[in-house]
Amino acid sequence: MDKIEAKAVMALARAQGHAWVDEAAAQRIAAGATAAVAAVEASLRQGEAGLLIDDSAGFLATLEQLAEPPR
Amino acid sequence: MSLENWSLVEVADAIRSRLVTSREVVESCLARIVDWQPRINAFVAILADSARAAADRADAAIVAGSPLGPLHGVPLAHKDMFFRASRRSSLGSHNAPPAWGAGESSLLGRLDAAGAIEIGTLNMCEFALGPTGHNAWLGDCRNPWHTDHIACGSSSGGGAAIAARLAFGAFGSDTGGSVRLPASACGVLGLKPTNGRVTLAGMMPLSPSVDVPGIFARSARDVARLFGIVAGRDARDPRSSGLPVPDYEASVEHGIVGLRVGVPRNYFLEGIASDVAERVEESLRVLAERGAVLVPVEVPAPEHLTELSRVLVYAEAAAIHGPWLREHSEGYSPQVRVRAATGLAIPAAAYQQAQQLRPGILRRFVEAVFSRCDALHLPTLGIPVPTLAETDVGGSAAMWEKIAVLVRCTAPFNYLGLPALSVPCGFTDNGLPTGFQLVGRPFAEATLLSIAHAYDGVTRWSRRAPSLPS
Repeated sequence: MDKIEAKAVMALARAQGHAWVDEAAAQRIAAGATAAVAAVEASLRQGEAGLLIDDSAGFLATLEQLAEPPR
Repeated sequence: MSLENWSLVEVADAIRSRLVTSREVVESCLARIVDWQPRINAFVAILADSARAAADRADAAIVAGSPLGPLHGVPLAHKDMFFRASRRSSLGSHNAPPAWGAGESSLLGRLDAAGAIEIGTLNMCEFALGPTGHNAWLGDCRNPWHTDHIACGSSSGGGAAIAARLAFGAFGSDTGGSVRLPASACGVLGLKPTNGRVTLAGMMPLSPSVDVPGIFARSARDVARLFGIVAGRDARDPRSSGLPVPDYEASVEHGIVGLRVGVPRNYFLEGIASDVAERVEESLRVLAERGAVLVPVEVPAPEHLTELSRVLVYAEAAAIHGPWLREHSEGYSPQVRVRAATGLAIPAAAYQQAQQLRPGILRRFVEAVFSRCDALHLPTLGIPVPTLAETDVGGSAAMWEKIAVLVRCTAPFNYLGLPALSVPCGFTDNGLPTGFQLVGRPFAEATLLSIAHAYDGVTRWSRRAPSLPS
């Protein structure tokens, strides 16, 4: 995956009204967002697409299904 | 043993049996706060007058033979992000939107009903975004064991205050390690419960999918008592679980003979400092001597979990902070401003995928790990507690790397939503505390507490107190 460029971050920030985002801030945001999005892509590429079977509303239900039985 | 070194359960029992008054306990804490606060800056507000009045009411109730809750007359203090209608929380900022912080925390309501006394509100990182304890607006919280060092964060005041014996228990929040890291750095226990086990209603949201309130205390039994009071379904929080709440305090006595403690073969022990590794190894030997069975465990795909968590945290934080940040960016410190805005550059599809992957990745993790062991054992913080200067990177290019080192062993379990407990296990070569972490199946806090109790009952690291710095 290509990294998210600072100039793209600045454009996105401006489009969302964040005029304060300068070049330095855009670089930090780009680095953080690139790493985060890369983890999603890597998880999908690792054959985990089959894991896309639940929506987020199912997370608590999954936790409860996997709960430890009483000792 | 002097009063401040009693555990929460010991002091609650002493108040109930009229061995000591609540007023005496509160005065003892307030006297220590006067000495310690200028040195470690653990508190945002010290509620001396209201705490004294509450203590007098508690003592009168005992004399009158009124029904007493399990925390009757016991002084606690909490991260300044649990709301009360009677005051405005700082949220670690000088710039919080006026509407934020309105309402009433369900968690504080349960503690009130149990008879607890709130002695103050605790320092925290700005908007709970930061693992170090720096705070440009409220002043940095410092480690009571050595004030040049960080207390870690974001619930920095919780670790520092409980270690310094300024209260008998505290609540913070844990979205990436924000309870476990300060607990480890300050030498106390820190519990991050299973997501959904404790209500979020009336607590400042950072990332509601990932946030969970957590507990600081000085013994497993103390954690168990506090946890048993706040755990369980809350009609005000649709994300809270309705599963029955076990008797955590009774469960700490279950013993650990035959319990399988998993030692990760991959990722979590890679690159940790040698003195941290030695303490963690020693803690495993103690657990084995107490009857636990050590089992090597291969952890499935741990390397992406922290970043997957960040997708959720940053997207949700940007959604929450976006409108205020757009108009008041100068009121945020540089690092927090950038971190709160990182979600602006995370595509909606990536956020949705991270949410959709979460149940499946959790299921795979639980099946792979907890089919082989009852609890996973790993470091909480893989390096000795650094200094304030070493971690004062602001919004510089070094920011992400510094954060990643600190949360490497904690943030994965926020994505997975699993319970995790940090337990003190000695001191590194720089004289600062370190801890190991126990991670369990969903809702397996009772198992983690029983292991911690068996360990700490022998080593008693959590009973060691820092000396007042000169």
